[in-house]
Amino acid sequence: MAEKKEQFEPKIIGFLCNWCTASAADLAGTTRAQYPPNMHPIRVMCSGTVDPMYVLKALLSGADSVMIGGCHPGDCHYVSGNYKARRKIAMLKQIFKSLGLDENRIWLRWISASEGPEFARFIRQITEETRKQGPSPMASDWTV
Amino acid sequence: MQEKNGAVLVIGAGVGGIRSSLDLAESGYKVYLTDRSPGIGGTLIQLETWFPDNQCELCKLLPVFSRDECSQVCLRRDLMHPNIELIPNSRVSKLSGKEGDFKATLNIKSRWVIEERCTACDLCAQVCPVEISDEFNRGLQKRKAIYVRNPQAIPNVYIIDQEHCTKCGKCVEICPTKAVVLNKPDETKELSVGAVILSAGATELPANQMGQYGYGYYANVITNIQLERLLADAGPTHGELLRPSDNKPPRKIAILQCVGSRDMDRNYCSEVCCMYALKESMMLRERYPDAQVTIFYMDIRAFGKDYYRYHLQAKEKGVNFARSRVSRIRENPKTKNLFLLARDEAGKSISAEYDMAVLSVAQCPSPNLTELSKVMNISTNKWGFIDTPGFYITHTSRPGVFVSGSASGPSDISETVIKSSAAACEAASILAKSQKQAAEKKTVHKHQTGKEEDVKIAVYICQCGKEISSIVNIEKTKEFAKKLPNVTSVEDVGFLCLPETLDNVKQAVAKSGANRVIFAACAPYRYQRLFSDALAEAGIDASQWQLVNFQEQLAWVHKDNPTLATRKAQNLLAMAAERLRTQGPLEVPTAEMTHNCLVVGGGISGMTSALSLADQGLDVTLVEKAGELGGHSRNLYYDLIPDNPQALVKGIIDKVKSNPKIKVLLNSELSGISGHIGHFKSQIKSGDKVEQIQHGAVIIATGASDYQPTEYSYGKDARVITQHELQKRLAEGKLGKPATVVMIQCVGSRNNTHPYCNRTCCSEAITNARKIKELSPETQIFILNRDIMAYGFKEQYYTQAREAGVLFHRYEPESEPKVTAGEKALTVEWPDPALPGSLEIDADLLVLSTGYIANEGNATIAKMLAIPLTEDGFFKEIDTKFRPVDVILDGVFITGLANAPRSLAEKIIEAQAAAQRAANVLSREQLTSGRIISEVDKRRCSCCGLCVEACPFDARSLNEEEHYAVVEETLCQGCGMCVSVCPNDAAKLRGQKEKQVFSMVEIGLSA
Repeated sequence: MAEKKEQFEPKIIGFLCNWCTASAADLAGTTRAQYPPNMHPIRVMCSGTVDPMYVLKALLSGADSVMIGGCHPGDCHYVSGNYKARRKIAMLKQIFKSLGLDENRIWLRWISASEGPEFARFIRQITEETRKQGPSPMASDWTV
Repeated sequence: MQEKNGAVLVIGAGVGGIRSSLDLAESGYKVYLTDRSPGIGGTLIQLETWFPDNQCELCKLLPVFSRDECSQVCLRRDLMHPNIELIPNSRVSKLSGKEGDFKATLNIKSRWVIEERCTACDLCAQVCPVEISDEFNRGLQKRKAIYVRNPQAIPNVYIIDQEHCTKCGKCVEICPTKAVVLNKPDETKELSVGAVILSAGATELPANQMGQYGYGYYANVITNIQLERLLADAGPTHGELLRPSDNKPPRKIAILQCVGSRDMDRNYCSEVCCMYALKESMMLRERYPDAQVTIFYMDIRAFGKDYYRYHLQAKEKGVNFARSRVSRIRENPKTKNLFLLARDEAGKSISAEYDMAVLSVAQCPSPNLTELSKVMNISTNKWGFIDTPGFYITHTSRPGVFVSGSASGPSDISETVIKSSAAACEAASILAKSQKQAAEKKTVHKHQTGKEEDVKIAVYICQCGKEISSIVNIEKTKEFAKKLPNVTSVEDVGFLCLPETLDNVKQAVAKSGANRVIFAACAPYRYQRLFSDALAEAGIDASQWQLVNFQEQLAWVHKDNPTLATRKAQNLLAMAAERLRTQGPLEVPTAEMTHNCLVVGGGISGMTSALSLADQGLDVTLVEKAGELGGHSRNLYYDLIPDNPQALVKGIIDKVKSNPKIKVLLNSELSGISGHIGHFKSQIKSGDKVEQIQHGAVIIATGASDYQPTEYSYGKDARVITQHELQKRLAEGKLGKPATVVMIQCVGSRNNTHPYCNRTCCSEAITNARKIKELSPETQIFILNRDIMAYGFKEQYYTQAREAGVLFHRYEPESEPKVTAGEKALTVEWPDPALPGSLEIDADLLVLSTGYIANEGNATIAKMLAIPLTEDGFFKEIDTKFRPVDVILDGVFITGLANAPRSLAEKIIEAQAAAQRAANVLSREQLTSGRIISEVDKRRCSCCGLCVEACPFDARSLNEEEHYAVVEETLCQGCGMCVSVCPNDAAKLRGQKEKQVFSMVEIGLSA
């Protein structure tokens, strides 16, 4: 128990697409797949609506990592939103790299509505990886 | 006029039933959607992916307009529409009356669980002592006698399998809400409907009937549905393919086609299996690149739009193809590996060892369908599928009863969707004159509060018995919530969903004067309608309350970490409160509707669409380039369907000409079009005259052109003709009695220039060959082919042609037949893969099976409307599977050869489908969009145009004069793509403004 208290508990913000990833999160629940409670979800209509600014805002407000969950490529309710999300996040990661920021704190994942177990697996992964990375320095180092 | 009833009964809630129901519901009719299983989705929900992207996209069936009325959630989970009454677990036991006035009796089987009281806590299943094989996963895992069929379904209500329940009573005892009632009696329900649509689907042939493959004895022989379940992430192995015998990943996998179809008993082609075998093989190759996958097949029938490309894609991905029918499978008892015994095309015997064999089993009628056909007194064909007389393949032997999907023969998704919209169209035509009996809409008197300081939020936290309260510290969470800004009350309740609790909450909300409500309970959709209705009565509009998921996304998934789970609970509440606090009322925008339709193209497709719309009371302008109606179909004299195409076409032309609702413009062309759905403006050019018309929708049925072959000296040698020309000669009795006729298939198609299958030429060749044999039995006929596309029931005619002595020989695309023109005859030479060396035949007549190529004019129309074309120049649909006649621009529909090559009967249903899709919007008083749409902050907009490019639905344009972007509100579907590209924060999404997101993020990280 004492060990657990000392463990760093990352704060993660997740932007989940209404059609796929948010449904997968519910399916993980109905099948009782277990994962750590560190990710706080915000449901958006499409992963393509996630402005890179949202990601920045989350990191600057104290998130240790940010996830964006969308439908698999080829399967967007709005035709091509996830492709646009992919480009934007790739661009954002590139900018992070060139600024010397840790682009590994941004995670884009395609999780379809039927992939409840995959959703749980991924949340376990992002939580563990973020825990290893330690607290993000962005919130304390940067002010806008 | 006899008074008719405005409701329709749809039997079967698979993809077909859903499509028909939504089409009718959107047009304003009441629909009773029944299914004998506990939920929606039919066969489809057992599969996770399909052609062409190997993804799902089922949600694309959902309506675009008035979308807030319908569920806005994954369609695998739920379907909610005010005009649709979903009646699961039910069977039709009687149907009396006639077209326009049916009485149907439904037997609704009791779940033995009270739906309103079940919270899906799973305690009952945990204590249930009965374990049986799980049908949903095709026996690959076990389930209890009290269970949920599909964990994704909403409501996630348990059901008791009465056949296996021992009535031990343990579930009754443990149920915290007293939801389980053993022996709860079944109910019956009487329905009055004007029409019936039967879309009860097909089932797979029990694989153990094909004893030679050892299914049921050999552990590693599985069916294709079992393979789908094994590859499914939510399946028994979480998507990992493991051999049932030893749980090891298989390295060599064989997929066997035509298991139980195309044989003596079932002389039809199962139609769907080639495409799913291609899909499964590609999935296997992608996931397990080391795996060897071989498809054993007779013909790869990839005949649909872009299916041939998919076939090529599978080849590129390294899937092996073996043209051979496996005669039997034997197992090595030690390793459990399988020996496949077969002969290859040249007759050499093959014996190969595989780790696993997948059987593509035939689609066949279910016992349920047989029962239904008897109850409803409609005739079936010799295999037990519903009989469809003539060219109208949604008709049955009983007027007013229509059939769609696989109930009338194996159909893939897009075919099912087209048939279902066509069936809806037929039903709507019958009911059009009747008073619409749609569900009454509840009027919500809205709270006017937009100012943040006036917001009063009431929070209700559901304990769900102990399900939530044992994980989340409710007291702490309540204390936390009370301190949140604008929160005026926080209550916790035992079970929020129970009718009595909900009633109390409703009254409390009304009394408290709260104008925003948060429910912390289970999945945000589960009780959406329940809560929505309850709150509407309390005066809370749908945009002013929120559900926070404390169950599926919290209590059920964080069982071992209550401390952090409570932190998350608090954060989620704070975030929801923040969103509501900053959320003013959201108005639903509406637009005016012009209730008439423009149909471009007067062939069979355009005419059928026009007639279907006119039958529903809508005005139509039909524009035809030529001087007469009929198009390509005028040249059709025979069809595989034993009916007369000429009489059909003539009949339709007469009906169109005499219909007062249809204005026909001959020798005319569409020369310009502008505007959007509901208010298009078009210019129609007839000679020098240009006419302006206004219309609400447009159907493009401009057809295609005949391919003019350059191969085989066509046009130079009179002995070389096309199938169309042959048919004309046959009809006019000018063929004579040639000694030898050679037909060559795939001339100008399935090659590099035209990499698509023309779908109709194999049927045409078989039709013509049979006709020749009928007129001149001595004539020798050779049909040189690559794959014979005798899909569905066409297979029987392929067999009959062979029985009549028509010889089918294959050729490989790499070694096409060579033709030498001699004085007496044309010598055709080619290597037949089944025979050694080359074959040489002297033909008196060489017939080329040529298909269609896209019209050059397509590009002009596409440019005018800013809609895309396929690589082959045909119009591109928005979604191949689920919206096959819709294009990216709302209000524009495509049908007939302009979309893709199709047979006569297929053109008719597709045209009806396009008409119904158009009628869905045209029959509305006005066009209603959704609450969540984008808007422009004019002061911030720099008119850069990035949002215009980003918008997938063409909903944005630029007002260059005033210098800002404009949103066409009815076209906007609320995806928010514009928001994320706008550099100035001028594009905003109602209900999700950047300010809201930012403050939610901050708050979500604060605790």
